[in-house]
Amino acid sequence: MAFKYRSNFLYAAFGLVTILLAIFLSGCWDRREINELAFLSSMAVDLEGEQRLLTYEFVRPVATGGGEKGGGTLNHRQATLRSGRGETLIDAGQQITTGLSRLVYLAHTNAVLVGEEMARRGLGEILDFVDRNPELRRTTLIMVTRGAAREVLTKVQGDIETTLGKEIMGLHKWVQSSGYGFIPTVNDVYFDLSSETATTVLPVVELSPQPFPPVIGAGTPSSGGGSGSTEGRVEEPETVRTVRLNGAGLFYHDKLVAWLDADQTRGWAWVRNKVRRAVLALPCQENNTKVAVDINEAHAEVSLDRQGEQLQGKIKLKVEGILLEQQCKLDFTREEAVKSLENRMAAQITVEISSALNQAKMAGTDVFGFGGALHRRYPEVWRQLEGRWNEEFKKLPVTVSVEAKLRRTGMTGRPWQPGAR
Amino acid sequence: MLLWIWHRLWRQATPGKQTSNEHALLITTRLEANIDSLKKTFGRSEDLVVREIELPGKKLALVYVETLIDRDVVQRDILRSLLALQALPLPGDEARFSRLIRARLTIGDLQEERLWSKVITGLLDGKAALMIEGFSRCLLLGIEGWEKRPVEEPANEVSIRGPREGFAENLATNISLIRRRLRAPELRFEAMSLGRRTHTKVVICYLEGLALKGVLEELRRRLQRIDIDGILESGYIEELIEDAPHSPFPQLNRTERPDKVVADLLEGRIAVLTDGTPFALLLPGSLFSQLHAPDDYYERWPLSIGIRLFRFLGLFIALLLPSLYVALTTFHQEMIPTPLAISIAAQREPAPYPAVVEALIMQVLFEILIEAGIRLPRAIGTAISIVGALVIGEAAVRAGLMSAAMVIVIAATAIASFTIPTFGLSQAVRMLRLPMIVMAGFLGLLGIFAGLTVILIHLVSLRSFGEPYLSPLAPFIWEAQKDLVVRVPWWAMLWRPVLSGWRDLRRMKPGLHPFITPRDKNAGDELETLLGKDNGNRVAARKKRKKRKGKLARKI
Repeated sequence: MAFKYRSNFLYAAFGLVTILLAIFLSGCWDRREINELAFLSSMAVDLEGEQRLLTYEFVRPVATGGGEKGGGTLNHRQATLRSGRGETLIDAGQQITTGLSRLVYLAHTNAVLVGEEMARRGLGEILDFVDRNPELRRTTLIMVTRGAAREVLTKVQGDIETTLGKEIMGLHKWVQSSGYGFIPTVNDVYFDLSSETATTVLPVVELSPQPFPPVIGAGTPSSGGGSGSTEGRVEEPETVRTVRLNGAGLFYHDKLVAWLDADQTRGWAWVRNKVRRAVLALPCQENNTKVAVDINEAHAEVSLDRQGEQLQGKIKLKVEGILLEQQCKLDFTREEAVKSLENRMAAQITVEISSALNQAKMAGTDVFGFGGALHRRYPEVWRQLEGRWNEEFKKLPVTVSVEAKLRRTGMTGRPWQPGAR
Repeated sequence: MLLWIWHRLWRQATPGKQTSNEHALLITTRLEANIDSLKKTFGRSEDLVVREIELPGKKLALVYVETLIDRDVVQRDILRSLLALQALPLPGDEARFSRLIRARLTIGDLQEERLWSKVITGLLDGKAALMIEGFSRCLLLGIEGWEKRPVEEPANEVSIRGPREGFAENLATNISLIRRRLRAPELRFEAMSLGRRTHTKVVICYLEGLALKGVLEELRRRLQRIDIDGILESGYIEELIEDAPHSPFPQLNRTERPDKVVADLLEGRIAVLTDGTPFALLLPGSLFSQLHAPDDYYERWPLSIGIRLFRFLGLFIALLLPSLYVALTTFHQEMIPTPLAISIAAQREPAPYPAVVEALIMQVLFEILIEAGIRLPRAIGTAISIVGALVIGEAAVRAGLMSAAMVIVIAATAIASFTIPTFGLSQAVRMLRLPMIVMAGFLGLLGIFAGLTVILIHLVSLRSFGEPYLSPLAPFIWEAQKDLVVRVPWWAMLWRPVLSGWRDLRRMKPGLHPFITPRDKNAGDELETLLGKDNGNRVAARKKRKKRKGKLARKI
């Protein structure tokens, strides 16, 4: 009996010691305290000659609730910038770690900015870097800059957000409701580049200097205030450098080939269903006045027809809008007025689309997805044209038909006139 | 080496046969000798009273332990009755005299005893022994009476809605609390006395015809096995009869609420009451029954479901929150939302210790605080709670010893651990939290899942008197899901729990849904016959069913 007890106890003790040793001797080799990490918020990738220049924007952790002196500070960016140069991206990244007291932690990276030169060279290595690294996510946003990306990253000042990465996250979330842009994730880019046409469009992010304080000439003393309590405002207006999206870069395969301006970007966005909301400012009949229509529904279809040997591209777009503002005095309870406005809406959108289309055709990059449409509709034709589709696309005649509808005229019907009841 | 010492101690500690067989003797016919012998047995105990009474031609002695009896009864009922005998002619032989005394004494509980051992036990139970010169038996008179704590609200199992009575230390009081709630003649109380020296009364309480015979048999066997010098609390018994003595999880439910005992009795379970403690044991126990509070059954059922869900969530928070926090902040920072990660990083900026150490320190401090809170004299309680709150909370953060997030985590954990209604389970969870934190600190989420797996394996392998500990979840029993997370309304709780109550499964007449209109008031009977409670009436039921098929179909 005693022997049995003893052996059981021995086995248990042995097992326990083994397990404990296995746990404790292996140590916490993977342990990294959260306050020993340098959280990357965004990064800029540039090409300098043959060297890659990597600029990292780290979040500087600041305890919440403390330190702020109140609203209206010029720059409360809480970021630290480091850059490194190297033959490859990871090489450049390694150079950064030699000057950093913390472990570079990429998992919370929000955005990758690609400089112009790098974009012309090709996105491939960046995509590979993001995809291969276990920390970086495919949901990282990616965009291009005109000129060097590090210019934007280093010169931007935070006025709402504390880091550029956060700023771009916010843009990503809300910019589509202006219709002027769209920030894709790395995953979207992969998706685009693996489609038939292997093209993509990345938005351009640029510095936009804003006067600060925002009112021009705010240095003048406030008129209504008392004598003693005027605040000692800075006399000359400063500028605060924020970022904005302006236009987009067209890519053929992973290489930047052309730019779109803001309107053209919206033209492209209409076709690829990237517009969630947009405002059209349309001319009224009267002298120089405008009507503003808020588009809240847009759906586009891209298709291809074949008549004999001739291919014919078709873009069909249906939009619906609400009248939000008018400077003239048109009575939109009358059908003619609505009809004519709808025609003007369609015309303006058509102009935007055609402009973007021309730009894309000139660059020979099918960012509208005609290739895919052809593949779906006439697979055998696609197989013939597949190799030289970008040449074919340059010659492709495209008709754009926009069907615009004005659904509501806002909260009122007839325009307001003095004396009207 | 340690083993050897352990075994040495074990052997030494095994008690030899007690040398007290002298009480198996009979009492003698000589009163003097008897009294001497009693005095010898009790030694110099102050409270043994021997009152000698002279009746014409007879010498009597009334012996009792003064502190265990009701003095009024002695004076009013015994002495007065005995003195009244002085006027009567007294019969000489034993049987007739005994009959006379029985007729004259105004005492309800009266029995004759010849064995010394029984007499002594009787005296210690609060009985008085009436010894008569020349008689070979003595009379034991039940006149127990001692200080009792009144029935009060149970301190540890508070309920918002439900009876306020809790068990007291006195066994008779506790039995009466149960009897008063369950006026069934099938209710059984089987008494036995445990503890070689304490002779603690232990009562097995069950419903005849409902409690499972096998479980009952097993319980009796395990209780009879017990041979220990003293039983001071039901915890002694619990540890001596439970199935897995090394487990941190309590395998018997304990309660100080008579309503809970009755509810379990009605489900076919068995209660063990111990004299001297307000805690009753309920068996077979299971994990989930310890997560159910009496309020669940008294409060409206949809709310009960919600509250139960929160309680189950509370169990997981209590077990896992600190370890999850440690794992996420030291291994898996990518799983924290970016703003939170940065804010935690900022808070941890001045923290001197790794998160694991921080969690362990906080946890240990917190456990100490709880323990201190229990042991404290009540008057200092508030002072200590203020100090505890300030020191462990605010000041530790201010001083840069702890990060604020950790304080929040520990506080949330502490609160969550008190949602578990039974203290035993709550303690088990609290104690398992520490190894979980260590596992999380070394292996991250992997460690947590390893720990959880070990706990789960252990839980699944546990049984309490034959009933799987995780039932009705781990052997999944569909019928019992009515009272696991969900608590169905009473009119739908048609069946008793299958595992413990299968000897009489039907709990109520079906069709008690209050919405049934008077026209349908016989629907319950119909359903009952259809469901075939009464096998003899099958044929009749079938006939009835045919006749009313259409009507019933509409109803259902």
